[in-house]
Amino acid sequence: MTDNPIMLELSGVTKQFGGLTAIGDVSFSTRKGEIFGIIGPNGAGKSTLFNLITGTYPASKGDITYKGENITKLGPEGVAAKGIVRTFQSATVFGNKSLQENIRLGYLFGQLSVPRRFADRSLLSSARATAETVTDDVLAFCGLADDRERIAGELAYGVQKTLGVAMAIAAGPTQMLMDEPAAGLNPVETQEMGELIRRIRAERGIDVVLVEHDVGMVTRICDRILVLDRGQVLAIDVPEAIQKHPDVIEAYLGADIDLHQV
Amino acid sequence: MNTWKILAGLVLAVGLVVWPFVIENRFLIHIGTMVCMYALLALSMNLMLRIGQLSLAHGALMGIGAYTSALVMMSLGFPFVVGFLLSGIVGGLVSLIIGPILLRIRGVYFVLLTFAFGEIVLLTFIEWVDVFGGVNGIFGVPRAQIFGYVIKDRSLSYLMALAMAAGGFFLLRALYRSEFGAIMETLEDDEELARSLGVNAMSYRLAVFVLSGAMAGFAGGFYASYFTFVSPGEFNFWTAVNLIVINVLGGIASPVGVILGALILVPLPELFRDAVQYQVLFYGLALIVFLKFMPDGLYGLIRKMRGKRNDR
Repeated sequence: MTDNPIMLELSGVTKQFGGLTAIGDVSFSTRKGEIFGIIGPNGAGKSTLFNLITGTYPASKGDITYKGENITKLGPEGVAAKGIVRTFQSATVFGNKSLQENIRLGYLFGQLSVPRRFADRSLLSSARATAETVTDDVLAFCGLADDRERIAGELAYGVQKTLGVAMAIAAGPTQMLMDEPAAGLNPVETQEMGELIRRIRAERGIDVVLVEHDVGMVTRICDRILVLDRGQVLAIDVPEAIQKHPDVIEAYLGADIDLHQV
Repeated sequence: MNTWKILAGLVLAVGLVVWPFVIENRFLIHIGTMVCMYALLALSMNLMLRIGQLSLAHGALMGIGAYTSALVMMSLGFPFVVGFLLSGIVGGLVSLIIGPILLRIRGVYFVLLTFAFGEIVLLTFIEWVDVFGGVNGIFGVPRAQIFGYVIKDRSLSYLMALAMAAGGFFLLRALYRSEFGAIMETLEDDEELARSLGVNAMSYRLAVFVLSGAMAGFAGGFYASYFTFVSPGEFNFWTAVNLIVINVLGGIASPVGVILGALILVPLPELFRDAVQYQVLFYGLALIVFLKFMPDGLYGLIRKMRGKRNDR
């Protein structure tokens, strides 16, 4: 995997809120076919870093590139148009629509994202024609087919989170950014979410970067892990090395977490 | 069932077109014309309410259309068709220019900004006397004229207004049922999710605002030639407030509700001339009652009674 081409690359990314440096000089790169995890104690700046990559916040300094293309200033929709689709920490779905309509919209929005493309009638009609097939396919892939007619807002929290991932898949990304995919899930659901993420990479060929609080899940499914502490990179390594890394243990012990218990 | 629906629609359409020629009551025809004009305006406001950005600039946008049409005909000597077309185009163009600035702001600040914009437009009409005629406005605006035929007859004016309202109605209905409508729906509550999937929310907001401004502009162009005068007092923020009340009372969720709202609210001040001083009070009370007890408006209530939900 170390020979695979570089996909997402951050160089010297810094974010300041007023005088406070939330993210200081963070650099790393992910490779094709990788599931890349970002962990860190509370307040380490995981969410800020995530929001910088997704274009939600502009970076104060530094560059973010995807496949060599600078995406630092594109904003959320611009980043998405480059094939990088995010999921949300809390279940974020179109609550008053059916589950299958959610996925259909995920696909259509992904297809019609740019206004210039929206105006293209032939693209629109071909997107409409394939929407049903894609929806069925994604429903089956995520194991949501039984609930397809139900209203998304009335589903159990875990199902809604899976639906959020399903919508992101339907949008047709090459890179998925997941904000705490296991947050709010019970151990069984967490296990299933981990499986789904592995299958997203294996069967869909989508690279994954995830920010996660659940260290257990991250060490199980990620190829490499970045540990963030006080806005800075503490370590980047494979899970086995991260678990033994003295600085990492120190940082987590400071936050009263035993790595071998979680 | 479907045949009945089509038949009912045909009867309704024929009835809407024919009644002024059967009931030759000038007063009723005037009210019918006003209902249609305000229906078009309320539909343009409906676009804004759908994306969660309540605009108080719509009176001013209507005024911009009205003054544009009047000046293009009177100062530049163009025929009505040009003036009328430009009323909508300029309305849309002004929205296109101010949209990128205003639409970034949400909630109550957007309302305040649109209010301020409306006031600036009104002040321009009032203070720039040489061009806009000051407080008195502009008198003697030429009547509508299509293919060389001057529309003097009230029933023909009504037909023109009806065509505009119907055009706005069917345009919005088609829009709301399309993918564009699906995107619009997400802009009020689910914008972050839509953007994360690649929807350029700002350009959709702008497109909605431009369409809305153009519709208000066309209504203004019609207004100028119907009354043959324009004056700044007609285009203040109360116009926008009336449009909001029409929407809330009729029901924001469907263009049918908007038409229903216009049908009920527009004739009221005309029919109860003596009670006009209570109009604002009535509107206030109606707003409170509807927002509190019937947030889906009258049309929402009708749908609920017929046991349907959430369908446009």
